[in-house]
Order: sequence, then structure tokens, then C-alpha cells
Amino acid sequence: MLAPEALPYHRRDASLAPRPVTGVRKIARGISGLARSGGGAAPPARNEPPATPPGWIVAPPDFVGVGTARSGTTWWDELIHTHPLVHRAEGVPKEVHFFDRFWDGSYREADAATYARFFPRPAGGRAGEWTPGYMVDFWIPALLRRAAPEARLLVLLRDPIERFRSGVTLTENRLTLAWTARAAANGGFQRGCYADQLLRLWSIFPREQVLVLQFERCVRDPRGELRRTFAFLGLDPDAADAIDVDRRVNESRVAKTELRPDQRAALADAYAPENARLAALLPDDFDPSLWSGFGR
Amino acid sequence: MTTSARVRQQAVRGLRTVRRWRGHRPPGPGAPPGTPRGWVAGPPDFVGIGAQKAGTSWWSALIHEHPDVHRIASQPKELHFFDGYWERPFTTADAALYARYFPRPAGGRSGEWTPGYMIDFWAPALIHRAAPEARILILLRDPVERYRSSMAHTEELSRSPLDRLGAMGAFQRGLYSQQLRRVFRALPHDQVLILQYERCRADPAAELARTFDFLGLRPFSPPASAFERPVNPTTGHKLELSAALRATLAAAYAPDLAELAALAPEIDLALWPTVRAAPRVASDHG
Repeated sequence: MLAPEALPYHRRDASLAPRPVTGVRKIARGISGLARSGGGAAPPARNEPPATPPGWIVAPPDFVGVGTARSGTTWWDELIHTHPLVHRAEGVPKEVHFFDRFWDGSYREADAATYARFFPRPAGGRAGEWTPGYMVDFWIPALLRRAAPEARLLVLLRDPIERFRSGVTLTENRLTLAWTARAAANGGFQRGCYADQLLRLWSIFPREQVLVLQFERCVRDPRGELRRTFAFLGLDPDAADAIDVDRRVNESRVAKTELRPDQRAALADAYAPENARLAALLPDDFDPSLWSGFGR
Repeated sequence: MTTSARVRQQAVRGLRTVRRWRGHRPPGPGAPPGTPRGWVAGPPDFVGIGAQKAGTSWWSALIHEHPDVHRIASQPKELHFFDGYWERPFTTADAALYARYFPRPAGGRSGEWTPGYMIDFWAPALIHRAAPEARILILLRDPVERYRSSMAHTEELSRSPLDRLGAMGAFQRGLYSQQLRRVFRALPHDQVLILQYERCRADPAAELARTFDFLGLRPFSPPASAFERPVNPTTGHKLELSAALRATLAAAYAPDLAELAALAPEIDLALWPTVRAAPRVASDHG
């Protein structure tokens, strides 16, 4: 029997143990699973780490993208993987979602070794992943620091209103019985409060280990920003000259949700103080004029 | 439309049916009450907007001990009036509708306290439109204790295992500085009273006198028994957080708490164990 402190939660009363999943709950869960599989937020990783190819070595990731959803991270991740030294083993997704399930405090030191097994690479090669939700989940930066203390972190930020709209299009908040438009709006809004997330990240990782990129700058000058990314990862920046800058990836296949003017105004107003804080935190890496409604 | 999109659309439709069948209704209150003869309805004199699991039911009940504060017996403490105005636009008719929930006799006061208003980023501006003169009440509690209480509450309501989105939502409700920045953008500073749960527990009579004064009410002392009344207690079980999870939460709240002193100097951070437990945030973090 584990001591209470060893358990993530210690219940004094067992009467509220999870009820068996039956009847309506089972149907509802099945439906929400179906809805998820239609392109919503990726579920937490249940996938096993890949087999390590012969001659390759396993080590914690060299880089981890930690933010943010609907900001072009799939595009940027693909561009990073055009570098001849960057490897991804067969079957490893761009988003490993390894730390999602540890919200309850259940992470153990042995989990670090499991995480490293997602990153086999030949000698001299680099490997990493990009799960855009890591930055917003309050428990993750500290765990990432324990599992991959040397990893270089990548953060790609986009105009939070556009990010919000794109997230609503995709229903990034899971559909369950408890789901409401109000909860989805609040969840989507929080993902765009970048300054809070960066401050939490910087309180755990040294700033020089974090590269903050702005999506709109990447669109404007992909080669230049990719050179910067490669240099940050300790890779030869000249590899950026070979990329196809016109390639688009992971574009929404569903019709885009448009925000009503009053919704857009409410978002602009609520994001104004957060964007101003972000600008103060990033005097060099961030161009406020590229974001709509800035300075309201 | 692709097959997966069609499957998804059908699933969403099915889910809505299940939710309807389970008795989910659109957000917001029921129909406004009738106005008793001789009473008048008007915008609320006070609106409590936060925070959930911070003792607001207890404090709201104490405010209603005052003989000049009125609420029709059928009306709840929490109206949730603004919950639905993300989905639909807010109009002048909606503002007039809000006023109809607050009948009071001449000279009387009336108000409500929905602790979720503060987290809804669209709500403060709408409250200001619907009740421009209202005094705004905010009760804050140690954010880690609030998180623990909130998770216990969620578990009890949903009777289902807690999950990651629940944890994220509970955490975000404790980011007080972020919420206060929005509140002070939308509502005049001098119309907002920020109370601290721990101080209310330590000296309820003094804090209640302060609350009455802020609401423009004459001094009044409820009977001592009123302070003891257990309102909305955690029923039956208590959720405990492990020491590791507490430390993680304290560290994650540290940057937000570092900004609270400037935003709400009336908050005594020394009363919150979380602040003492958290590692110091480097001062160059803005």
C-alpha cells in the first residue's frame, strides 16, 4: 500500500470513486471519441515509443516545440525536418503529447527514460517533437525540464485573435457532455494569453534555451526565420536556402468560422493588456504591428 | 465534405441530442420574477463576479442579512445572466432584461453574485453596460486552495473522473492578476471591492462592516450565529493534493501572484501559504 503522499490524489472517502461507464455515458463517450477522431485536438499519447533502428542511439530530445496550437507549428516542424541532420523515427508523430496525462501529479522519474525512447537518431543526428499544448498546461514545463533539461524549446506565436478563430474552427476543446460554447471560448482564449505562459516557461527554463518565433514574421520571411531557428538549434543555417517556401501544410479542410464583430471586439479588448505585456517581454523578437487590433 | 467531416458532424448532432435528453438547457437564468406591488425593478446595486470556490456563498448570505438588502425568495444567488453572451450578441433589450431580476422596495438594495463572471473575458464589459452604477464584489482565496476546492467541486458535480481540461480550467480561474487586468479595463476602479477569504474568516465582522460601507449601506451587525452558518460546504469528501502537485501549482502561480501586489494592494499575500511556498520569481520577468 502506497503512503497517501505517494498518490497524486488521496481521497478520504471512496464513495465518489468513478462510476462504471454504462448506458448513456458509454454512448456519449463513444460519440465524443468519434467527434475527436474527425480532426479535433489530438488525444494524449497512448502510443508506444518506436523501436530503435540498428546503429541509432536514444537520448532526450534536442529540441521540443511547446507552443502554440493553430499557429503554424506543423509547417515549421516540417521545415526543421528538411535539415539533413534532423531525424524522426518511423511512427513517431510530430506531437508526442507525452506529458498531457501527468496533470494529476503521477509523473515518476522512470517516465523520463520512456520519453527519451521517442527520440532515436543516428550518431551526430538531432531529434525532437512539437506538442503545441505543452506551454499552456501548467504542470508540463517543470516535467519537461526534468525529462529533457538540455532541450532547446521552440515557441511559435500568432495573432491571438486569428489563433482563436482557427481554434474554434477546429473545436480544439474536446466535445464531451460537459462541453459548452462558454467553456470552449474560455479555453481558446487562455491559449492566447501568451505573456502568462512565457513567464511560467522562463521561470523553469533559462531564457537563452527558448526561441520565440512570430508566425507572421515566418510567413513574411520563411528563409530568414528558418536560418534563425537552425542557428538556435546548433545546426548549419545554410540548409534553409534549400526549402520550398510555397508549401502549405495542415491547412483546415473545414470551412473557417468567422467571428461576429462584437466577438472580435471583445477579444481585441481582452487581449490588449496581454499583448502589451508580451511586447514588453519580447522587445526584439516580436513585431506588434503584425497583429490586428494591437494597441487598443 | 469528406467522410470524416460528415462523421464528425453527425457525432456532434448526436451529442447535442444526448445533452438535451440529459436536461442540459441553454446558459442563463430562468424568466425574471414578477415585481411585488410597491417594489421597483432596476439594475442591480451590486454584482459579485468572483471567484469560484472562494467563500462567495457564505459572503453573499451575510450581505443578505442586512435589512435593506432584498431578494425575491425564488431567486438564486447566482444568476449566470451573462454566460450565454459569447454565443449571441448583447443588446440594449438584454440590458433591460437584466434589470428585471432585481425588484426591491423603495430605499432597498438588490444584487447577485455569479463567481464565474470574472473568468468570462466578455462579461465585465457587458456588466458595465447593463449596470453601470453597480458596485462590484470580488472575493479571492489562496489560488492553490481554490484549485483544490474547485477540483473537488467538479468531481462532485460531474461524478466522473477528473481530466486534463478540468485541471486547466481550474488552474486558469486562479490567475487573478490576468482577470483583474480585464476587470479594471471594463469597470471603474473605485467601483470594485476586493476581499480576501482568509481575512474574512479571521475577522468576519470587520470585513462585513467594510463590505456594507462599500455598498453604501448603514452599519448593521448580524447576530453572531449568522457568521457560523455553514453555507455550501464541501459535502462528504475532501480532495487532497499531493505535496508535489502543490509545489507545481505554487510555482506555476508565482508569476501571476508577483503582479497581484501592484493590481490589488489590499490583498495581504502573507495570508496565502502558496506565496510562501513558491520559489521567488526573478525580478527581470517584467
